[in-house]
Amino acid sequence: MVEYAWLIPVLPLFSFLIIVLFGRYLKNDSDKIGIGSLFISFLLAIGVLLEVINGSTITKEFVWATHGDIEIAFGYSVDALTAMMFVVVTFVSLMVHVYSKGYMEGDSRYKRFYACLSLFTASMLGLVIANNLLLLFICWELVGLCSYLLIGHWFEDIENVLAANKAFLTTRVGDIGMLIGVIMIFAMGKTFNFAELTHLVEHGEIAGVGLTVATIFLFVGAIGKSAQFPLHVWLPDAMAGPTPVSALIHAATMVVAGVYLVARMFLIFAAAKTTLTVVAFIGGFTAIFAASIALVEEDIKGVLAYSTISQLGYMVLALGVGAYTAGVFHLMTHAFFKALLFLASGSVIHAVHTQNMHKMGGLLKKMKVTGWTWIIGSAALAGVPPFSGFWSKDEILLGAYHSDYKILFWIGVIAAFFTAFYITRATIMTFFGEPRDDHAYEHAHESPSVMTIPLILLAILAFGSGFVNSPLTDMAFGKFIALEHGHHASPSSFVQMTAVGATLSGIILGWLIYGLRIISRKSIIKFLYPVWRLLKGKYFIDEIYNVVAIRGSLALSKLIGAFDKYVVDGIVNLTGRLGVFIGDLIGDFDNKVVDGAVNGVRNTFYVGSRLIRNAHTGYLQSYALTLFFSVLIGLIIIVIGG
Amino acid sequence: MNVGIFTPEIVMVITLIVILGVKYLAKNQFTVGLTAVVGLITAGVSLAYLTDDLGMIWGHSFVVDSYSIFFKALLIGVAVVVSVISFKYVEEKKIKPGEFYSLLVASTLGMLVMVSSYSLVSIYIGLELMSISAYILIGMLQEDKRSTEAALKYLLIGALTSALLLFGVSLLYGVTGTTNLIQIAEVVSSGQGALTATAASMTPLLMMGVVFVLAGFGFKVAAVPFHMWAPDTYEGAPTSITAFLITGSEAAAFAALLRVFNVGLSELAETWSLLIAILALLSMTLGNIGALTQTNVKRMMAYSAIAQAGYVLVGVAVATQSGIFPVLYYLLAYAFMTLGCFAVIILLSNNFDSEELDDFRGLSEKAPMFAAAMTLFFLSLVGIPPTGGFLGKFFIFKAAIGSNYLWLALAMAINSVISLPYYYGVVKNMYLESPTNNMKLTIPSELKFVVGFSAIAILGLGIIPEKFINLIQLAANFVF
Repeated sequence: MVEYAWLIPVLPLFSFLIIVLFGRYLKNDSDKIGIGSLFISFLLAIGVLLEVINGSTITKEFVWATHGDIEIAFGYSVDALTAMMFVVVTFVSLMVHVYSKGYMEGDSRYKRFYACLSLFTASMLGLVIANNLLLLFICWELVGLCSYLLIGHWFEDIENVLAANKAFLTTRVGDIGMLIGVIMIFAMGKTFNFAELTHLVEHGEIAGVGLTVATIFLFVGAIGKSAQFPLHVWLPDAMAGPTPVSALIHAATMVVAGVYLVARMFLIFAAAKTTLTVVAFIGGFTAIFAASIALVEEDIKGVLAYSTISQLGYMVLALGVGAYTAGVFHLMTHAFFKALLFLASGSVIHAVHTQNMHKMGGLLKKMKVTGWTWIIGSAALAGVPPFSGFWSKDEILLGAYHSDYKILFWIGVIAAFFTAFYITRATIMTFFGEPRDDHAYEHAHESPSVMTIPLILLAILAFGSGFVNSPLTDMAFGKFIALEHGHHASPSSFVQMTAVGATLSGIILGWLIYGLRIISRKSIIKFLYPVWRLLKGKYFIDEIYNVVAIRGSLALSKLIGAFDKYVVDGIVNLTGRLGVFIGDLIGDFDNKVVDGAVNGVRNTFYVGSRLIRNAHTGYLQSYALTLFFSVLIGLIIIVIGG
Repeated sequence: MNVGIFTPEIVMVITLIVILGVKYLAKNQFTVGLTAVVGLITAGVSLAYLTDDLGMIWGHSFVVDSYSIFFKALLIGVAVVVSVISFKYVEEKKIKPGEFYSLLVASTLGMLVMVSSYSLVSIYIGLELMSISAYILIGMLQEDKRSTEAALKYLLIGALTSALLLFGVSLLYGVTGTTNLIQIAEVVSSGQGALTATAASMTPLLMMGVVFVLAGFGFKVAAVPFHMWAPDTYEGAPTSITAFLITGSEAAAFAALLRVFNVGLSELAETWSLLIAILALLSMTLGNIGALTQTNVKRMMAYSAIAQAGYVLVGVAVATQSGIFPVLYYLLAYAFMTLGCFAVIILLSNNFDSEELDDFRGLSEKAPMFAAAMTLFFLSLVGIPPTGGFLGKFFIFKAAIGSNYLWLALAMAINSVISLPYYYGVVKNMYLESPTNNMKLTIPSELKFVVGFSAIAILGLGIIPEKFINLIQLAANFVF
């Protein structure tokens, strides 16, 4: 089975091509192509996983270009990490594909939507199967493109277009950093291959400051893609896209590409201690920073967006403190429960046509399946034992506890408290209490089964996927995924107690404020008004960027403009005066010439082409067609004659 | 590195900058034009000092030899003449002179790089500099929609064919692992490619590369079937720019084409020779037939140019040393006769503000010398002695017969007959028809000079060819 692993990314790619090329004949059957091909990919992914568990791997390579003594090879390899990612990506993508059948029904760009989903899935799978930085980077850019296309899916609304632009440009900043990193690594190692690079790093052939700088640049790419501080600003705006897209791309798969990059190159990063420290602190800071913003969000997708940033921060933190297994483990569980939460929120939005939680409430009565699956997802996110998030978050906190920086552990604990609080708040505001908007409540209804069945399947995994790395299964996941050099920190009951304590106190506090209303929400806001304002304004990062980056460059251009206007123009004007003097002398002549030219411009536009119109249409596209056919005929002559 | 090799190019760059400065200082348009002419002539004169510096630099990608000096002299000459005949035209059509002349110089600079290149990459760079400047130049008649249309068509089709050319270049590079023409030739003949070990497995990819590269150059020389843009563009462009494209751009493209195919791909001559022969036949025939029914003189000249490119391609198809000399000879003669024709067209364009065949009525009464010169240029274009055009065609004819392209030689002869009526139509208008109006022509002295000089050169090339043959033969020997 593992030798057919290359089919896993190729099938969705075919689906994309078929939808794009034959979409007009398929009409709304495009979804079947997408779902069908992905289902086969999913089955293959399961088969590959089973074989990889039994110890088989595969690596294939071919030389793509040779330049002097440098060979650039393309290839793929399947190992434990890839096999796991295959299952996660194909499964979540399959769920989203099915769910979209209901969610996107009747959309005017239904085919385009499925084409983009297919291309995205193909690129993401290509990203995880790549065995070298170059192919990874190409796929990395492709998933970014798909993200752009899908955020702007409803491009009639200027807001969506701006959000798509923002996402594209912000991640671009990271990508430039990454490209520099890729080039630096290549310059030092003369190869893009991960295995060869790891080998070189382990033997100290790439080391020192060069390695540190290169890995930091690579990590800048990860910061952009995984929406880490300070390049996180695009992800909340990206929620402008259709909700299934948010679930697939902006929660479960694409945004973890940054985490995946660090995981894939973990042994290389591990050799640069400084980089690892930077990674850990960026991750830790992002985790608590984004969680704090989520505390006051009113938009249900906004909560989930900041929650995603925060959880990605956890994963990055885990990798930064060397807890490789924990980071990858959390990547997997998060993919399931966050996709679930997004799809459930989509189901709610589908029902009440608003994203503002203040207009929801009491929806559990009307939407049983959506409500209960959401609650399972929330429990997993909050880290309630024995839901999946509990096991993976516990691992991360354990890793942080054993690291050199105890502060990271406490950051993680506080972020966990925040997490429990905001998701409790969102759950209560959406599904419990009295309906706050009667009109919306009246019209609310459970979504069709094509949407609820994916929710149920995801809920099962959101609940159960944590067990694969629990004492119940003897830490099977950790043993499967672990790198040779990985070490597993011994469990600590202190860590476990603290984590569960933070979670429970977050839930209880949320329940007291929003459920029982014992503590008045208003008085807290009054009491902590400056903090509340700061959080509500999302730390004013967007505003700061606006002033520094956008106004800054405008000011610079104005400065240059002023120089041009006063200094350069001044010189020109001075010489111009001289010119005027000379010009006056020959002014008469000039006037006559100008007047003469204006007189009677005869329009002969049609005359020339009329006679030979049949042969020479004037249409550019027919010229281009002629050109291509000529080349084609030339090639045929060569093939037959040569 | 010997910077002296670049003297003409450096002079051109300086000229370009000076023009942009002069544009602000001088309100008089002639001053700007004159600056361009002086700069170009300086560059031309500097060519005379190059012969001592023969050599290659930059890893054999830039070369100065008699071949490139011949073309540089030709191209700079063309640029000078085009500048001169534009003096009045630029003013009449309210074209911005600073931009016009600086782009003209930039485009010429691109051509100079092209003809000196020994590497596919530097050829491409030169080609793009030439083309991008030309895109703007073509669209410079802001009040005329045809000009904008012409520029857009040239740009879009140009971009398409650039892509084809680059694709071909990448194929050649992919197979041989180098873009240098000499090294490509070595790899092809030894069969030791970068990717494949044997000559046999290399050939299909190389052949594909040849087809794509040929398409790219085919566009530049407006050979059928890559000619579709040419009538629209040549008609819409400012008249002097049309002349510039037909002579300069085409000559530079032929220079590079000869180098690429005769140096880099000479091993594959059998195949590309056939392809070029087909292009030659199509270009001659379609060009001449297309010209028959035109009423606009620029459009007629466009089709005529396609046909003439076909004649030159015959020389290229011969694919041996014997074909190169006639090509060079013909290009030289062709430059003179075309520029002469366009000087006359510009005269009418300046006076009547249109370029119809009817405008030629009664030209023999209004400007007898111009009418006579125009007749001479047409005789030369058809290929009638004692003109340079005749000898050029004769040399090509001889070379074609000498290398078993008898059918192509016959096609040439038949085509010369087909072309007679449309040239004759103009001559008839000039001598036998009475003028449509009694407007008196104002004839700028620079046009008199250009037309006179071209006429003398055409006659010189036809009557005393020995003076030129040795020089051109020397240049032709250096193509390899």
